[in-house]
Amino acid sequence: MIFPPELIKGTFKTIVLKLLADNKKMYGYEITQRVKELTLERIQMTEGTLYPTLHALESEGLVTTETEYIGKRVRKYYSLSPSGKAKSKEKVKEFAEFVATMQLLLDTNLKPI
Amino acid sequence: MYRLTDAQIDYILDDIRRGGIELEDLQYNLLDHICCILERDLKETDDFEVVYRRTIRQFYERELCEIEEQAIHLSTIKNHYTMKKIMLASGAISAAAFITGCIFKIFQLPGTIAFLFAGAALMSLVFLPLMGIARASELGTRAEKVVPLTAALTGSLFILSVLFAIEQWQGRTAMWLLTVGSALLLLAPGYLYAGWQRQDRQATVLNTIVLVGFASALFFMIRIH
Repeated sequence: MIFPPELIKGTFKTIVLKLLADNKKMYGYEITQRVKELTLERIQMTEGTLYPTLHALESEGLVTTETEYIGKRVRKYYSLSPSGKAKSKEKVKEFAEFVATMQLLLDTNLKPI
Repeated sequence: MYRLTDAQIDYILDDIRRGGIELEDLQYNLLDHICCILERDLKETDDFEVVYRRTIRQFYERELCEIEEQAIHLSTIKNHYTMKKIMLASGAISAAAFITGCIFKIFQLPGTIAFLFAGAALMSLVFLPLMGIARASELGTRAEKVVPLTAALTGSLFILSVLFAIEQWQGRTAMWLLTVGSALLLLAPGYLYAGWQRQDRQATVLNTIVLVGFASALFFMIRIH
């Protein structure tokens, strides 16, 4: 089952920040593949979602970038800035609390995938 | 693994640019992403053009440029909220300044003009322009965006015209002409055009034309008598 986009719409920043917190630096394609792999393809982060999210995180100063030239291509690596590290912890904590609250509200016992 | 040639990479980059992606940073991000997918999926016997078209089509719903629009939207949304806060604060302060100015005027206290001037300046130079920009950024089409922008401009000119008239400053006639010109030549056509574009608003536009026409005719007849 793939989760519908409306269910995961507000979680993209949290997902990207957490992935960058766990990995020193990542590039766009790598992030999409990692999300697929970790969620057993139940969450699909499309290019149309990923790059606007990365762009927003960069303009908020939460990520820093470095580029690598691969022939005629330019690969942009993203890593967390000091404020991004703090934000990542804050977002993950906020989301965990949200899940716990939803669990209370819907009276379900969440099981791992 | 398939290796893309320089010509193929140039072709993809040109296609991304033709698709409406103007941010260089985003162009290179998308280029690298597409190249990664193509090098993973393409086989020597495959037709590059066919696989490329199929791949890029998965990136968007309607047009490729929606990725850039979304990127700009997400990175400006914080500014949008800050702008709205400034707009509300300036509106509240200018209203307070107007009310204080009016009270001072009634009791003929000194400082009336300072309060009225501050209220009018804040309302016409900060509140209304910010309101126009904030509202325009929330609307979809270019025609729709014109309406709040021209309305803010006309409103600002109107307030300044009133201030000029009350204080009998030089140039008050020019200010009134500018206000009427802005209303008749920018706001009214923009409003009617944008309204006519939407089927659900056509009745409102027709009602507006009838009401404004009737009011104008009434004023014209009173003037004649």
